Formats: sequence, structure tokens, C-alpha cells
Amino acid sequence: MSALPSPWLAALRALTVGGSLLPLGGWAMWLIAHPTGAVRACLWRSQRRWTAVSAVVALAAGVGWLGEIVVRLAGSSGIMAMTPTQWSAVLRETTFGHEWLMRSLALGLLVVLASIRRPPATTGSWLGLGAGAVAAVSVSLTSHAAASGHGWRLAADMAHITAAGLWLGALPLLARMLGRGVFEPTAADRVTRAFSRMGVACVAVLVFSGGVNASALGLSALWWRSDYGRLVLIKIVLFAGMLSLALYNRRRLTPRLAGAEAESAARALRRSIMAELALGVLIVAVVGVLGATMPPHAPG
Amino acid sequence: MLGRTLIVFAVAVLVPAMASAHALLEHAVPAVGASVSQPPKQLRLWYSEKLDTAFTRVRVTDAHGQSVTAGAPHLAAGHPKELVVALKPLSPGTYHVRWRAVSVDTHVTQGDFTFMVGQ
Repeated sequence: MSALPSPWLAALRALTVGGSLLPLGGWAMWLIAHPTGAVRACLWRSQRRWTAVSAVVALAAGVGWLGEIVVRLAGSSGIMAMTPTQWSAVLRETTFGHEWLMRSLALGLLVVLASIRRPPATTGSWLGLGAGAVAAVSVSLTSHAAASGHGWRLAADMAHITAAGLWLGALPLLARMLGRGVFEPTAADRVTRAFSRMGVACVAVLVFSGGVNASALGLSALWWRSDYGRLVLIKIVLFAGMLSLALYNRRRLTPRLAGAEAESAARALRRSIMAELALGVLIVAVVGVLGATMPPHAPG
Repeated sequence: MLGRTLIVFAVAVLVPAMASAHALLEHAVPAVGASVSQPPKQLRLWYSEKLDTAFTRVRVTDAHGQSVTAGAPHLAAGHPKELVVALKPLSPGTYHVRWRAVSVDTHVTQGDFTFMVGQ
């Protein structure tokens, strides 16, 4: 018997999680880059668009996810059969409801920030980073780690989510900085090196927090012939690809930004970053399915 | 050995933070299938996950299908995985417990068992 969730539920989860994770890295990148002059307005347009799209997608998919939870918890026969009382009970009386409200508020704030035409001052940027962090971390509050009742597992889960959001979410703005009309060798070199340092820290956190999660979950969960195990394998392959690209960017392409072939290095790096981002989006899609898939050790 | 190490490392990195499991009934008092001499005043259920009680249900019925619960299930103070259900005075007989648990990660599990009093 397949333990896979419906494609509809998997898509809603993936879109909510992805849209909630990505603004965090975007705002971190905005603060790291700290662009000035004409480039600042150009990059702010990109940052606004990225933030707005991510937050709106997460909000819309989140409503669908909430509906699915109401149906499941309240035992309604379908979306149309749900009553306002059931919606209210889920929002007021369950951990998922509280987490959903907190995330929605943070995403709403991000939409407001993205609606401002002028690039924000430092305070506004930090506000964006804070809202992005709340939106990302909220995902952990209804995770298996949270349900386990162990604070250290929840902390590891939050660290894992935060590191993933910082890494993935920073990529679009970084790619934009290397694009036509914006690329400036000195600034790009400075920012890519700063991003590289952040990326190394993110990988370290992912390894450590992933280790904590894995040891708590137990290797028995990896029943490779199960749907769950196959999904983890897919994720491993995708992650390996992403890490390989990141290493290639760090070792080969980033050092060339300061040299004579800066323009061609920037184009190559931009393409590689976009490929890295595409793999990251696929990983988020797999996470959407995994989050609703029963591990093989759990009895059906 | 190297292959196993690599697999463990890969799993350590990649087991998703959002991996989900379910609230499984670990044990109960009265125990599953047990026979007790004294009628219990409450039923206690221990689960493998933290529970949300808003949509968690426990129904205890006698041999005639009549409910013998004396209130909604609630969590034991300070124990988010332990569910307590007050019972009406029980007479000797067999009792059927049907439960539906909702864990904090929104997964729903259900099951049933019986216990006997004075038999």
C-alpha cells in the first residue's frame, strides 16, 4: 500500500514551505549586499518581486493547507461541508492553527514591505529579515520534531529550516547581482565571498541539525524499498547536485570575478546559481511530499 | 564500511526536518486487553507524540454500547503525551475503548481495544 500523500496535499505543503522559507535568505542577502547608487533601486525591484511572489504563494497555498487540515481533523466530508466553527476551532485550539496565524502575519508583513517602492532603510531591512525568520521557523512548530516533545529536537529542526532558508533564499538576489546592467566586479566579488562564507555556515548547520534529526528518527525509518526511503534517496541525489554546484562556484568561478575575465565568470556563475536554485526548488518539492508521507516504521 | 558510513552521513544531512510520524498508543491503564479487579475511575493513555486535544476523541462503552465516559479527554498536567479520560462508576463487565488521536504535527491515528472489570 502506498504511503504517499495526494499530489494536491503535497503541492500545498511544498508551496507553503517553499514560500515561507525563501524570503529569509533574500533579506539576509539584501543586508549583506547593502547595495548603493543606481544599482540599489534595480536590486530593490528584484528583492520586492521575489519577496512578494514568495509570500503571496505561501499565503495562498497556506489557506489550502489549512482547509485540508480542517477537513482531516474535523472529519468533514469535503471543503464545502466545512463550517465556520470548524475553521475557528482549528485556528484557535490547535498548534497548527497558532502556527498558521503566526506565519500568515509574518508573510503579510513581508507583502507590506514588498509593496514599498523605495528601498528600505536599515531598520526596514532588519524588519524584513525578522519577518522572514518567523515565517521560516514557524514551519517547525508542527513538525515531527515538535510533536516529539523534546526541546533539543525542535531547536535542531528550527536551525535546519533557518539554514535551508538562508542558503536557498539568497540565491535569486545573488544571481541578479551578476546580471546585465547590475554587475559590478568589485561589489560582486565582495558579495559572493560573503555569501560563500554564509553558505559554508549553512551547510555546517544543516549537517549538524540533520544529524540530530536523523539520530532521533532512527535509521529504521530508511526502509529503502518504501515510498519514504525512495523519496529520501531522491533528495540525497538532488542535494548532492546542489552541493557540487556550490563547491564549483566557490572554488572555480568566484575567484575569477576579481580577474580579467570577470564578465564571462559572472555569466557562468549566474547560470550555475540558477541551476543550484532549481535543484533547491526540487528539494523543497520533495520535502513537501516527505512531510506528509508515513515513515515505514510507523504502523498503518 | 565506507558505504555504510556514507549512507549514515547522507541520511544525517538529508533526513528532512519535516519528517512526520504518528501518535501511536504506547500503553494504557487499564492496559490493553487487561482484566482488573477494581473498577478504574479514569482511563489513561500514553502516546508516542505530543497531542492536540481539540480534535482528539476517546469513547468508552459498555457491553450494551452505552458511553461510560464522564467528560472529554484532557492532557495530564505537564505531560503532553498522556491523555486522561474520567469514567463513570463501572460495574463488572467488558468495556470497549475507541480512540482517535491528533498529534501536534496534525496526523490522525485511531484504534480500539477492550479491558475487563471484575472478571
